[in-house]
Amino acid sequence: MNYTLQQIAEALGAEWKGDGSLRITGAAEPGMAGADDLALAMSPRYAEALQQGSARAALVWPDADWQAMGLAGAVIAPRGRLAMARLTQLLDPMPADPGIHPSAVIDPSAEIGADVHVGPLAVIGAGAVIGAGSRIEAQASIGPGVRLGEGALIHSGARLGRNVVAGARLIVQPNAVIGGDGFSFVTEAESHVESARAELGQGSVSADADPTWHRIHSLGAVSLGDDVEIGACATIDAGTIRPTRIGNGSKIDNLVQVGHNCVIGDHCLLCGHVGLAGSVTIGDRSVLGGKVGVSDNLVIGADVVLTGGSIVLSNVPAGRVMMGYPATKIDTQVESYKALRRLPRLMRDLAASRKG
Amino acid sequence: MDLREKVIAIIADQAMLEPADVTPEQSPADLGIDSLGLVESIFAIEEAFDISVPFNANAPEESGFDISSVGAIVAAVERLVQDRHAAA
Repeated sequence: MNYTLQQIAEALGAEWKGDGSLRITGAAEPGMAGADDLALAMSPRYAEALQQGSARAALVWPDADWQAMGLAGAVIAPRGRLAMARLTQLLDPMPADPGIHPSAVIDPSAEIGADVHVGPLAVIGAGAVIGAGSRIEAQASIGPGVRLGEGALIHSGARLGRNVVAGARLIVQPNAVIGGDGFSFVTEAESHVESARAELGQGSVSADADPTWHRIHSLGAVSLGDDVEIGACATIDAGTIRPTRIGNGSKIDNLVQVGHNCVIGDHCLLCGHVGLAGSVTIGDRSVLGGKVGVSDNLVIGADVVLTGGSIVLSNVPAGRVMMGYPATKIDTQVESYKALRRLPRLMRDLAASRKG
Repeated sequence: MDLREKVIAIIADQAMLEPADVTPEQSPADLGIDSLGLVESIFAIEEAFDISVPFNANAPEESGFDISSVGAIVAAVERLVQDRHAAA
């Protein structure tokens, strides 16, 4: 890369000070920055490290005394991580070799849009539609009937099952699987699992006469909105009759499991290892921390925050912050935890008062 | 180890610092201790001194237990320990 400081500021929509004509060829942490690097010093705690590096220009916090820190120019970042979002987008070198690799296997009935790149050994099935400007990387497979909007980026080894539909700018990280069959089985008569659920707290069940699990097929595929991102090795199961849905702008981290028939709203975040059982509904803008688990058929409202490791066993109203197992409102959970931590001393006091 | 040193050792433990690097005027936030880290420190204090800290994690300013700085925490623990001896 090679930009002037002013060009970078303009790309970031940020204010710049000093010498806007400085050439920048890379970005670096303040202590390790060379003379042509933009040092990333978005908070005062980097001021000292800036002295150790040899950067002439830096991305700095709003009232930084950039001249005193020996800089010739500075870009002002009122919100450091937002500036990082735009800067890293600018600096990420996209491969400049659009084209279809000869080893790719593309069904003749597939429609490939303009400027699409298909990497070596990628497979595109019958009737698939790939939007303009998309990149299908090496060994990715795109099932029959898949429809991708413009600008999709499907990383190597990712699999999209039949009839998966996505809006614009879908990003799928390596080895994610979208549209595998749901985990959906049923017994001939009511099973011991169903009776365990119906008689909650009963503690014992009898064996089923016929334990055979009959398979319910997944015909519904998956529907993804615009600007969705799916993490590496995440799995989004196909719906039974209608699609499993993920709304616009929602981001799913690595190793997340979304069960069949789930409906996830717009702008949600599902962090690593989240597991959603089947038919869970999640409202817009909700955030599920790492390792959150949600039992099947539950409804989680909009703007909910579930802290890491929470296990949700009942519906959650909109706007609630929940924690723990079973997940409860965070204030209730912290109160309960306090009581639990005090319990051993309470037991000792109780034992002592009985003796006395 | 006196009470002050014990409290500082507990806070330093949570902050992953040496007790010598913890000064009375620092706040838990200065030491990099967040709200749940503070709850853990308070449990450790309760256990070490056999006291109950009237602490509200959701509204610390309403709890009557001053957690604004290390010095304030030490003073509050001193009072609670005295109260316990007075009650015994």
